[in-house]
Amino acid sequence: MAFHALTVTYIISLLGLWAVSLIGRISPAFVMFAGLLIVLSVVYNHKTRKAIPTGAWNIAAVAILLLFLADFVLISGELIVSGSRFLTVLLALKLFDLRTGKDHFIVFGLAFFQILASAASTVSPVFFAILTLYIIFSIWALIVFNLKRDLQGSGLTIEVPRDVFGVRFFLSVICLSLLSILLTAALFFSIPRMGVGIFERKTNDTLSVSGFSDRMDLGSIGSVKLDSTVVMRVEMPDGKRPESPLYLRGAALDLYHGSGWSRHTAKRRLLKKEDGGFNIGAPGSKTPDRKTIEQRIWLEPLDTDVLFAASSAFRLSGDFANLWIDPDNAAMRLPAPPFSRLQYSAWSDVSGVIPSPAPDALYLDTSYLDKAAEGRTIRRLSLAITQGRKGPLEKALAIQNYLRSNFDYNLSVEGQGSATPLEDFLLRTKEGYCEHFSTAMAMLLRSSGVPARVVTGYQQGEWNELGGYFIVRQQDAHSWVEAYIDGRGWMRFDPTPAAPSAYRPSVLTLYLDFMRLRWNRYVIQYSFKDQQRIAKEARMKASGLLDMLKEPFRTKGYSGAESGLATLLALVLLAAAGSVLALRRAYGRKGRSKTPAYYLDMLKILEASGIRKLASETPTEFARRTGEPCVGEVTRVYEEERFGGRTPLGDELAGVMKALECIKCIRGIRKRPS
Amino acid sequence: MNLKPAISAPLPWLSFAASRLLAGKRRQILKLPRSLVITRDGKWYIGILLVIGVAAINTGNNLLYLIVATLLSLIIVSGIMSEAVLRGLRIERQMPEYAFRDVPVNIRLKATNAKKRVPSFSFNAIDAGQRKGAWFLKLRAGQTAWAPVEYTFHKRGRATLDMLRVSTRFPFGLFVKGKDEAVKDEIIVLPAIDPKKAICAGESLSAGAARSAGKGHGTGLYGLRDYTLMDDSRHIHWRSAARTQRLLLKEFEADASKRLLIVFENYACNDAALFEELVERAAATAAVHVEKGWSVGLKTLKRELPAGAGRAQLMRILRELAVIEGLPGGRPSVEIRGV
Repeated sequence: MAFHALTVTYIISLLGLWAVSLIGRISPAFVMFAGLLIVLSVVYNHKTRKAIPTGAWNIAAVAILLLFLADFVLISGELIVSGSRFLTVLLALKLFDLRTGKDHFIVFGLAFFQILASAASTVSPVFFAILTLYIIFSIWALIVFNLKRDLQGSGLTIEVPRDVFGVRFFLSVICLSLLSILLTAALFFSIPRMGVGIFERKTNDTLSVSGFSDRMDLGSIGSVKLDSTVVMRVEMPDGKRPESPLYLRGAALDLYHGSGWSRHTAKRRLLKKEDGGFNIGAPGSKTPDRKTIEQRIWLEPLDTDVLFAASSAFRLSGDFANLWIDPDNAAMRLPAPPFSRLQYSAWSDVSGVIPSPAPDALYLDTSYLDKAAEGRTIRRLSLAITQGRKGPLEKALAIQNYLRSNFDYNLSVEGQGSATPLEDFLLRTKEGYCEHFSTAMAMLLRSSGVPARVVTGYQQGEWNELGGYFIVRQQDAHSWVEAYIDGRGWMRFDPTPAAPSAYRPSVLTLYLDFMRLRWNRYVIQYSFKDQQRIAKEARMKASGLLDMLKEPFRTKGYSGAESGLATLLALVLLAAAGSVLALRRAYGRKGRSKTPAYYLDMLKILEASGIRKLASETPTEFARRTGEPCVGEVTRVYEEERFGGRTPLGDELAGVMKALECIKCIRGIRKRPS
Repeated sequence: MNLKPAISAPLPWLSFAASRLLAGKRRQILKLPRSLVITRDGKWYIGILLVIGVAAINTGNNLLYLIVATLLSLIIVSGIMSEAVLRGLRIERQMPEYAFRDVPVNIRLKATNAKKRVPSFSFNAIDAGQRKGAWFLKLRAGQTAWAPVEYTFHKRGRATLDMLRVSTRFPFGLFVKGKDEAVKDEIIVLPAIDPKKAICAGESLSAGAARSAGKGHGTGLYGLRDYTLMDDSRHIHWRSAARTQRLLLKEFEADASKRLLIVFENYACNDAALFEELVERAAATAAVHVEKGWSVGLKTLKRELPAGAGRAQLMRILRELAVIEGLPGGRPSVEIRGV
């Protein structure tokens, strides 16, 4: 594995380019352009290899600087984006001017700053792969260039021998890199975090989600049903999949105006943190089948202030100071969209009922049907479905069954964007997706006198066995109905028939997603709280270990002080034993064998070919037994050094080395040189 | 009950005893086992590390923390690697017999890597006070290598070399880590020989000298001996060789007319330069005359070397002059006398 400076420099350049490609606002076209420049430089370096005049290089550098300023002021307006483009073009240009070791160093430096810019703007786990490769190749290159520089500085006119940078050297570099990565991990987790960054940068890669504000237009969810972008991950702390499906509730809407839903009045109540979390309501319904679960939610950067949790959440805990809650529809909101990743825990009652006093009359609002041309037909349909049903629960179930069994799920319904989507769905097409079903059910319920509202949120998505969590994607966006059932509260109904999943992830995808979750959890979102938790756990484990050490003394009837003393004594003895070992290691070299390395080497060579020196034999006797003059020569030098106290001269040692080679050749360990 | 006097009373004694005990060793105890110098590249590296560290704190960006951790880990790796290079390295000198003042002399430095597995890369061995050192590219485990180094001594006398510094910039060139090896050697630094300073003796100086002192470069036959390869073949006594069937060499008597004694009254004076000048004059006189085939002797206030010829005699004189010191009592001077 000979070191090839140009190859390593190109690898590092490509790593820099790869890092830049992770920055969200750097377009793929620019990356391709830079890649093309790099390819051209490869051709240039292999074919032409003419040095660029310094003047031309300086003019080009100034031109790139001016372009950077223009880019920053007029186009991007972001230092990191413009700076990354500037670094990339500069690096590509520098690749045309690789003459000395210093030029290679400049390329490494530029690539490092590209990686730095990427670190400031991305959260992708790919970054870690780039950093790891950069560590390996930069360590390799730095060592080799440093050795070459030392060689130049020594004034010697020799070339570095090829065997110095052989396979073993490369393997050592790999081991060093692994050590460096381990140390990086240890340092990363132990560098104290300050809690919050003063200039915390919001990500530009915000996902656009619709239907979670105070307004939802029919058809808004349908457009994202084919989008497999991950919106959130919902982790179960116990790693077990919940028995009942999760409905991750977002906003609830109560006013239908023909083409969509909105709110009559948006009420908001500020919640303060209590015991490290927000207490939203009573823990669970009063129903006997009440079941509560805890979820840890990793929300991707979304352009909405709504927080999602399994319906219905009664407690929330996260790194945000305030939480707004709508007392009427139990929607949870932040003061503003976060535009960054959020992690929070929620505790929910998943029985499907939200305990609530009797609702306002606005949940029975059917004013749209009064005005609509086909409003009367819909009312008649509602009466027909609920005929003979007495209570609201029976009516709701009847409507739900009716919609599930008589209507079809279809993402590409005819007449998209029509002025009367509800009428089209109920009376003509009889097919649609969740928004149509939930809207129809809510209006039918209201027509039959049952208070109802439409809820938007997400279905649970696919379960990832590896990490024990749900991957929720854009395509899992959903809409369902909550109907008020006397004596129980708001009860969830989902009239949408089961839809064929548009996206089936492979095992590899699930595994990669698991890695991504871990990356987000332990690197991107790692915080001071985690450090506190780790310290607490370490303290507990240490005290547990001490207890374990004390235990044998306790069982024999010693008092607490006695057992503590004994434990202390044991620890002191352990430390003393460790110190003795360390001291022996440090100062015990005098006691080691005084046999020179070359003689031991010779014994090894001979032993490999079946000739072993007996313990009863003197070196001379052994040499005589082998009958080889080379062995005799090595033995002579060895005896003079070992017993005569004479340091062998350089020529003698060179002779010993030749003799060893000769023994290897004779014994067939190495081929005789031609 | 006031315990203060009882507790404080022994402390001054303890501190006194400790200071006495550690008096000689304090410097050694306080001295760190390794020295560390940050190179120019290292200063840039640390500067960039600090800037990214500040950025990480201010932005709370964990990936910047990751970069900081990476840069720190490379410093640790650099420390481990440089330690691996220095540990187990033994440096020795192979000294010549003597050196001349201000004249470069080659001393061979012998480096041995006593480690069992780990090689040592790119290290430098240099003596304290010397400008040049020996650089070794790679030394495998158990391997020994030599490198010649030019030493220059600026003071005559016994020069003691007691400390060798082994240093390395390996692996990244960010730091120069070094260790001092206590390796004691001694060399005699002879006075510088400048023929211009020699006091020239006239032919008449030893006219009328009584007899020859022994073998020398004169004209009279002193005797015959077996020829060796080191001898001048022109002096082979061919007639005897033909007779005895072996090569015999003619040896001559010393030239009785070319004998002189350098009298150096080595009184100490305030002007050290003057004293050194006189030493060099004596040395140059001896060297010039010995080269011309004279028998030269040296007389100092303490010792007298009888006149003799040849390089061995010259070395005896120069060694004497190398360690000569001023004695109280008068004014120093150098003169030559016939014997």
